[in-house]
Amino acid sequence: MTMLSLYRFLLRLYPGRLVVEFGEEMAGVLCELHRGSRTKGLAARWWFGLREVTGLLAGALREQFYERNRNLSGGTMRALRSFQFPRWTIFMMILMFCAVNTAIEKGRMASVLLAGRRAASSHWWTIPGVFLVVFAFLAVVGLIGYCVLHVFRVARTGRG
Amino acid sequence: MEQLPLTEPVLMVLLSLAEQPRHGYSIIKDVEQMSEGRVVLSTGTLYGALLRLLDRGWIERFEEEDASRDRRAYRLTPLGRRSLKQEFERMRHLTKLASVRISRRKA
Repeated sequence: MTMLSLYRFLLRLYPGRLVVEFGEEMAGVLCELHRGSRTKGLAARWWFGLREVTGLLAGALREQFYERNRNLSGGTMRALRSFQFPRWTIFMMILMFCAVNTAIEKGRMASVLLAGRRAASSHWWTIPGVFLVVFAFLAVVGLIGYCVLHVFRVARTGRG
Repeated sequence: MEQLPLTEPVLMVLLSLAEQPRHGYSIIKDVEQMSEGRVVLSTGTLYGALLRLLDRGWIERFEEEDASRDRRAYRLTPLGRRSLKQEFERMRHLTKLASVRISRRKA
């Protein structure tokens, strides 16, 4: 695949309105820039290709968010911007998680005792590990959510 | 104005168009030259900025007689020129303030 085919392919990732409005023009500018870069050294050509590909990818993502924002009503957008994750729910989630784990463990111990067998070693040691995994998962989900909201806000202010 | 302050790429695009109407390739080259190679716009960044500026009514298409569909020029509208002047005033005020504060700190 030549670089120009790659650019044309990446242009398809942009919203329809932008492709209709600027598609041919962007392809034309890319061709001109590409022709200009041929006279330069290999490193400059690579740098140019890398900059254009990342620029097109980042631009496609930004424009998709911008287009979606334009279609949202003012009220929805205001609610989205003013939304803040309530911190107390994290504490409640941890509390509920501990309560459920304790109940499961107690039940398991009771069933072992009632069956007349010697209680097997407790599985309490697994709980910190589970906590760690849950925290990591929540952190990743939170981070992704924050990034999405941030991109929405940036696209909404429309600062290029 | 809600859209101020402007990001550097947008400001450079407006400055490039302040002088004369230009098409995409010419804007990229002019911005590179103005910033002495410090700001090199990618095509994606340029057209994202142009779309936003067209939506705001700060720039408009400039119909050239021999223009093809893949080579259209843009120019500043009176609103765009006013906004650019406002941004320039804001920056001038900031520069003045910064120089006063910094010199006061040294003294």
